[in-house]
Amino acid sequence: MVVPLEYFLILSSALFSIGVFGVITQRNAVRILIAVELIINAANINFVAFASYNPVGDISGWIFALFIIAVAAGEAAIGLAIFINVFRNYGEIDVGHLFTLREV
Amino acid sequence: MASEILLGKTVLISPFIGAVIVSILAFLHYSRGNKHEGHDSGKHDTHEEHTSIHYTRFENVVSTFGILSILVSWLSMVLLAINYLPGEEHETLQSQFGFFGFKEGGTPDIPFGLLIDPLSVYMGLIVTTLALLIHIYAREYMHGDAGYSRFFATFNFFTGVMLTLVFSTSFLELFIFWELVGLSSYLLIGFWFYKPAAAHAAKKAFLYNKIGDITLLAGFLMLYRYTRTLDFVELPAKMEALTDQQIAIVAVLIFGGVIGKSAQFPLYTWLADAMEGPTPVSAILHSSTMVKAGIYMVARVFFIYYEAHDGHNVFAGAEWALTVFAWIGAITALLAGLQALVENEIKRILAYSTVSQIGYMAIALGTGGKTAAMFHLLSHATFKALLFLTAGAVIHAVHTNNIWEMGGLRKKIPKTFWPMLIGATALAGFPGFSGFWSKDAVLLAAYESKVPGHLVIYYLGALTAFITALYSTRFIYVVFFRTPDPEHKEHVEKAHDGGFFLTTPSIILGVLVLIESILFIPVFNFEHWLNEILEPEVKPEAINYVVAGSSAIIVLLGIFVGLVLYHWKPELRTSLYNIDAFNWIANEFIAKRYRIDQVLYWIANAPVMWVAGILQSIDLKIIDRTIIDTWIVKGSLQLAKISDVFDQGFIDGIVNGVWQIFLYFGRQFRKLQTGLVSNYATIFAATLVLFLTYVNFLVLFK
Amino acid sequence: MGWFLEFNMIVIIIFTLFMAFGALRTDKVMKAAAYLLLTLWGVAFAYLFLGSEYVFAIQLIVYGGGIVVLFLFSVLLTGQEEFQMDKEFVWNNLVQILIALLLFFTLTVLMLDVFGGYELTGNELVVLNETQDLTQTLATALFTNYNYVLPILGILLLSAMLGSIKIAIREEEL
Repeated sequence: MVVPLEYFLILSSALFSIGVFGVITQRNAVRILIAVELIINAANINFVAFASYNPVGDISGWIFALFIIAVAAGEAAIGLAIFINVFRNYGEIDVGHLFTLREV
Repeated sequence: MASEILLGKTVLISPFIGAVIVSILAFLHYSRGNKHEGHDSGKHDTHEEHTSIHYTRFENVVSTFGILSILVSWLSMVLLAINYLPGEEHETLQSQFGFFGFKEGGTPDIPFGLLIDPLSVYMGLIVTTLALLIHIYAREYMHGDAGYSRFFATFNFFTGVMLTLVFSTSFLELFIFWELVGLSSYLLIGFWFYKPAAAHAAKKAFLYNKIGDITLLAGFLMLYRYTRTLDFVELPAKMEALTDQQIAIVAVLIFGGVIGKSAQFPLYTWLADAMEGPTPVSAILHSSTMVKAGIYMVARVFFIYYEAHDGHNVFAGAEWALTVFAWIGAITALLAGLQALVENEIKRILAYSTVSQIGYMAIALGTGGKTAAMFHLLSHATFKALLFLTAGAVIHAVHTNNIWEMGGLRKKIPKTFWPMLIGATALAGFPGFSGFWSKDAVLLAAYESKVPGHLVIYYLGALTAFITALYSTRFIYVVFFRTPDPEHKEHVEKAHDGGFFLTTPSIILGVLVLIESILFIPVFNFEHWLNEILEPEVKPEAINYVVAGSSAIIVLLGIFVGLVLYHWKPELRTSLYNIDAFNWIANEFIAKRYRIDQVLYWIANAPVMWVAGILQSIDLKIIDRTIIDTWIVKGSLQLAKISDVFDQGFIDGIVNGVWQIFLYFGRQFRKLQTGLVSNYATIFAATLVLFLTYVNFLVLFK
Repeated sequence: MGWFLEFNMIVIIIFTLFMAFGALRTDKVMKAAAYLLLTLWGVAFAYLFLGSEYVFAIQLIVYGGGIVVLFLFSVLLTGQEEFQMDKEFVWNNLVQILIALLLFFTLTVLMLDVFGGYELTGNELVVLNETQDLTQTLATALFTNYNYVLPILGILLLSAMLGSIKIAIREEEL
């Protein structure tokens, strides 16, 4: 592997920042979940990269990556279920209009 | 040797080729612009008008290829099985097609291939024979269905997957095909997926199976961790490496898989719901595939429970797992038998009877009778396939599922009546019929075993035999002999036998049951022969006339009670139902499946709600009451008192300035609580930036 | 050869980031899901560059297949109103962009500070070690030291499945 580790670090931090940017700017819940997936992917890249560049040859990071992918799948499924429930109750999933938690 | 492996490969691959051919045919048919024809679900009375000659021709081509592929598989299976006849040399052949790449670093690899030994040949013969007959039956039964080609493709796939499971040579391969069996049963149970009940049943079967599958996965991964092999040929010798606790955990986890797949207590309710699929599906699901896969798997890995070459020596760790399994089997047999007594739909009666009979096999396996289990598997597979095929023919004839809307069908559909009578007699265990001999073997295994409480298990089994005889008598009498109710007289009058393909398989199966009944008579030593090829290291048990005689008496008593209740004194039944307690037990408790589904739902639901309740009470009591109410409120009260003192002493202006400042900050902070996710997230991200900057400074100037 | 790989990696990084940004700035949610798919593919190719074909395959199958399908379902089931780009520049937007940029800056500086100094040269890397097949190593690890991972994942996904059924189902359907 001749590609330096730095490339992956920059990729992951950029992806993370884009994800955070998405979370703070988007108003549609589905888009927020998409941004969260970007954040998760950024973390995953770091896991895999550090495991691959590990001089000892310990590949636990890969197994973590698999675990994270599965958890992301579960998270997306539950997110979908929650969105459907919210959509059923409010008729929309725009988080800008869901402020029942607001201080009155 | 080489030819045998070639035969084995043909057995496995042929059904898959059939599935592919059927799919290609369907693709060609529909891509030529043919419209979708045929009726939706199971409306077998009106199909003639709905289908064109063209579609019928397409159906014939599809089913011919579907049946032919199974026929090829069956023929090669028979040729293969000839080598395993009594007296022939029988050996274990293993052909490895490939490996699940584990060659590196001293780790043994897991083979993927074909294991031909007496057990797999025996099971494979049962599967192919019944699959062939049920395919022939389905040719006419599914006629006019909109999903005819889909049915045959999935059905062939199902058969092929089950055969590969039977012949698999390692745990990993078995597990892969175990999952595929689950998948194809999901597809077949939900075959009429536009019916909500069918979609629900398929989902339920899938989920219930998954619970078992996870424990099975955990079980064999654990086995691999300790033995470093999953090869069925190598594993027995390596079992010594495990400690008692490890064996116990592995044994219990593997039984978990069986409880899911073979529909044992408490996960058995999916099997009755699976009746929403077409009848041929129920027939193959209940007779030879799917639910028998669990029993077969335990027989295959029996070395986990018993030491390899030394007869009946249980591993100390596995003993209590076996006991638990035998008890689960006994409980399942009894509960499902009772439920078959109160059920009114003919297919559901048979479904619960299957659960009950598989409970018998579980008893046999738990008490160490591998031969008895496989023996009962054979006889049950035959008569249960027969019963389902004839039940389908009955439904086909009268267009109803409820036995109380039938009656007096004996003269109307003789070609269905006689095979069904034979099947029910065998199921009831009438002395001399196949079910009697195999059930006797199971009861004998329970009677003579050393498992704790084996006598209680034996009594439960005997009680179940009584119940089995009772419900067999019940549905045969109600369907075929009872005078039909006046309001149902009309469609009973119109009932007639099905065509050639609908009746022939059940007649063949009826003859097979009769042949088995003769073959199983102890004079012909069938059980000893089975014992010899399946587990030659164990000495067969001689027939015990006390057990055999008592079960004969029990069965006859059951049939007698059934006749009393339904024929001679039907008013006795009414007076029984007039007793409140009896009525409640029958209609509210047993007929509602002992509320098992509710309990399972509660088990899945309650812990989550419990944890949530605890968290809520922590939130309310500790955070709200203690921290906020006690510390913050009381603390601020104290502060207020102090400030009151100060207020008395200091100039009002300063104090006013202080509260104005607090009010100002309070108003500013209040704006943060917008309830908008984006704002919270922005604050969160900003804080993260601050934190990272701080860490950066730490790193830079360390 | 080295510069070629590096060049490819740069292309993949640019592609991935561009697609990730596109996922947030398109006008339709459906398009956003498509952009997400392309982003995930880009990340998958990054995994390939890291030598883990298995994670690459899982990323394509589970992420690129399953999760994106889930997103499409959620878009379909919750209606797909168009995204209103803020036409006039709001003060809030500047703050958000500033926060994202600062985050990127601080994160990159921190990462490169901490891990840039280790001099991970090519020779030490496990990936270059030709004698060892990494997928086999991964499989062996999954079947031995980490043999609880698969069952736990099974239980997790099963409970996620049951939980989402429980959440999404209407009370009267139960």
